[in-house]
Amino acid sequence: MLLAAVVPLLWLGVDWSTGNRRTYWARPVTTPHRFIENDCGKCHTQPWQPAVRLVTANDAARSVADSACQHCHGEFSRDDHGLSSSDGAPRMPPDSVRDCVLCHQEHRGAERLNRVADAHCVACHGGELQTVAGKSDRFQGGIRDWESHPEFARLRDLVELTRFDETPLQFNHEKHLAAAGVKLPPSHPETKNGKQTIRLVCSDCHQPTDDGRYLKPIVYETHCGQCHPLAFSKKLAVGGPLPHSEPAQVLGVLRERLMDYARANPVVVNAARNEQQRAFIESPATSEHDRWQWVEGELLSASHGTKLLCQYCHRVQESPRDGPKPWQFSVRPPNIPNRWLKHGSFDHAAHAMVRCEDCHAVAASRFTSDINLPKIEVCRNCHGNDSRASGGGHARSDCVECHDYHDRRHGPAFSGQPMQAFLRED
Amino acid sequence: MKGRMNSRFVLLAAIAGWLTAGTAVAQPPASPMLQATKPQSQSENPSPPAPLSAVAGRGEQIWKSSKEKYLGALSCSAAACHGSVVADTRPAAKSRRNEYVVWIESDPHSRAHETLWNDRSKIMLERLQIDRGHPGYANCLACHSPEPPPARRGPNYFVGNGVDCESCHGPAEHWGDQHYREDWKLSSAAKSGKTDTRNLAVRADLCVGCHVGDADRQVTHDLIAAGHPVLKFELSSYLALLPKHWRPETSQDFEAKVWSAGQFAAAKANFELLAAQASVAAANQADAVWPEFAQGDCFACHHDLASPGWRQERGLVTGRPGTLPLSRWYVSAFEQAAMASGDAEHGKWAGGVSNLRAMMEASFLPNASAVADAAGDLSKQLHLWQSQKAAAFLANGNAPSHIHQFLRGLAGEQNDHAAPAVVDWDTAAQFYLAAVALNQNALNQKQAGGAGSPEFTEAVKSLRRHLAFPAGFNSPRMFVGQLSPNASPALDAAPSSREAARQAIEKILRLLPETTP
Repeated sequence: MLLAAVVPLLWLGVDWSTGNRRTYWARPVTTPHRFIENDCGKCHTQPWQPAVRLVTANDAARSVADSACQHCHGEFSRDDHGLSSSDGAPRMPPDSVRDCVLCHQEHRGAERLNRVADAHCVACHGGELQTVAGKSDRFQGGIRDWESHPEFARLRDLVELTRFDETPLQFNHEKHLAAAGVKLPPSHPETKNGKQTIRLVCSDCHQPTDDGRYLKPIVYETHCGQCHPLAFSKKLAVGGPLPHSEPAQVLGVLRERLMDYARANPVVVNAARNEQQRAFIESPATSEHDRWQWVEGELLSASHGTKLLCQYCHRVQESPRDGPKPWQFSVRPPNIPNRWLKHGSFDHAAHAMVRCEDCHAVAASRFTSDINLPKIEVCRNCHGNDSRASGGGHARSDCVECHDYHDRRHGPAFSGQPMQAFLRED
Repeated sequence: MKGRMNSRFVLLAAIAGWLTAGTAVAQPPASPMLQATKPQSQSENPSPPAPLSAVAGRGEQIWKSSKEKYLGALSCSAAACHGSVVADTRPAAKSRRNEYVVWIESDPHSRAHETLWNDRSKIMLERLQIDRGHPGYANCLACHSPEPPPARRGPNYFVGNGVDCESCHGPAEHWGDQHYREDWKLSSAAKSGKTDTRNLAVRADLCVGCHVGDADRQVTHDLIAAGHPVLKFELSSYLALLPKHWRPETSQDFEAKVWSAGQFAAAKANFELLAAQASVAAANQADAVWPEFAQGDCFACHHDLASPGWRQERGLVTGRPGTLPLSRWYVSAFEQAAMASGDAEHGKWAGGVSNLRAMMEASFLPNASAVADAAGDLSKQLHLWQSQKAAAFLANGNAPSHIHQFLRGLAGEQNDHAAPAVVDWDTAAQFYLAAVALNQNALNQKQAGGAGSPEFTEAVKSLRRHLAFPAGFNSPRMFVGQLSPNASPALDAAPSSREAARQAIEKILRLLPETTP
């Protein structure tokens, strides 16, 4: 009988001396944490907490304090939720338990650590949402599961979108993606190979970012400039197409080119000046003043031509012609949202098996007012509740697939210890 | 004593005269037309009714003929469509792809809207005492910046492009994104609203709507007095000067055909214009302007005051002092052109024209309703002919011989100079322009003799020199009035100039081919 007591203790002692702590794990540690799997104290900094929890019935007693996680994951904290919301920070219930380990449970395999259960989110988002300013009317409450998820915020509030971008770019996807192709201008390099039309596909303009999640913004020079060169006048095209910049700059370039033209063609300036003065005597030569006057006169009609160039894609604001100042025009650039999903994230690389047009219905989109962000129904084609009676086989629809509790844009910067120091300390 | 009484009387009279003269000068004249630069202040005199209130159209009728929407010049302007700076010069290419660039860079039509905002236009608005919100301003916009009603505008239609693509090629709603496809046929063009600009008669019709006018777009004498240029239009010369955004035409006798088409179209528009003006007068509208001076001969009033002058020597055209001769620019040229074509129907028109002239020149205040009827009738007949028979006439007729007959008729050769038609500058200028068209036509057809010879060209140039107004004048000062050899040189101001012009005309006539089919 003594043996029955002593042998397990001996065995425990031998096991302890090997430094291996596998005996004490509920289940294996996740792979990223395996380098400290035998050093329980690195995470379990508070002793006897399970007993404290049992005795005092206080759910907030944790053996893993937040500071243990923040040794390495210092940029995250329990309080950085919704900080960038324009509605004001959310008002968290004062007695809510929000430590790291509430949601991120170790000892359950790699998936579990990141895959936070929906219940944690629904605890707040299933009811009415409060912010410090009062009840939130920008965020919808009552979201209990994927089925009750509302339409995406950008698609819900179209008025807000119109206010966000009051000078949208005019673009017709249908024309650019036509099966017959788009015509090439004679100045396009491809026409030298005899091509007159070119068939465009999505990736000709929409290139992914380095991480593959999103798509880079459209840049005129790269994506538009070869087919839509900025030129409206043959004599002013010397030097190449006009720069894609503010009207004042473009007019400056035009002024220079007009001056070059005037110097090279004094006959034109002469004729204009003589006609204007109804000269009975022809003046012998053009002076610099004559050239400047001619340039300024031509610049007015050149401005008109430039305005039409800009107007092809942009909304242009013109000053009144009868006003005290000379007529001019300006272009306010479009304010295309960088992220169309306001509260969620998306990874295009993870969707590489799907074609663009399977989700984005751009082939029939003709108007700038079309919003080509797919509706949530499109996501529901593949993403669904695994436990549905109609039979699983859906892609995951957990909250954390698209949403992040931690506001990475506004959270504190990482300020944890360097790794070597962390490993050495007890 | 008597002398002193007389001198005192004279002195008093002089003082009185000076006083009244001073006050007369101080008060601004009543007619708004005579105040050159200063607008009349409202407090001094009650302002007379603005002259544009009865005039002309508001540019509304021109939108009633069709229903399609206008897309705007921008929709044609993509570099891959018609807005390329680099032209596509392959012979097989259906379009040169740089039409928009040519239009915006060189074509005055693209600056038509800008013209409304230049200094002269601003002065015109002051002189006419209107602002840009006045309903009469629509008359200006109707030609300079045709604006379809809002319901007829596509989503990207912007106002301010002047006379743009669709002003001539028709509203593009139904053919804008069809006409470049492989399966587009020209036969579908007419149904879709695309104007057939290859058809010379249609083309001429497009031009004269603005360059001569119609019921809806009028340049009246009031506008000319305010500063608008006079509209003396002739199609072949205007077309030659226009920077073209299409390939040069090489069809047989093209220049001559253009001249023919232009004469008929311009006359039709002028008769329509006259009918509209006369009917407003006939309806006794309070602010009707009748007689409309722009329909009269400019130089009947705007002439050199030296006496005796070439006009007095020529004699009264109307035969009656105090009447206004009808302008010869459109009317006489058309009359001769109608007689010269050899077509019986055209001969009837010539009769109608001389009746109209008789009505207009019967008194200073012609019978408005009679004139409206006669002019309206002529314009309707011409309109009908243009839509039905013009194409065939131009295609099958012998256009150069038409011009030959015209020139001979104008110079009075047909009736042995008994009643020569070249009685003033307008007809001489039309003679010159027809000769130029003939000359150019012959040169294009590579004819060495006759109208293509260097002598002909030299004669034409010589006539041009004598038609030019001297620098600083805007009417012919030393112009030869009557060009028949019977005219007496005794009263002439510049016999050498007269003789030179007459010789130029004679030479031109001599060089015309003898045989005419």
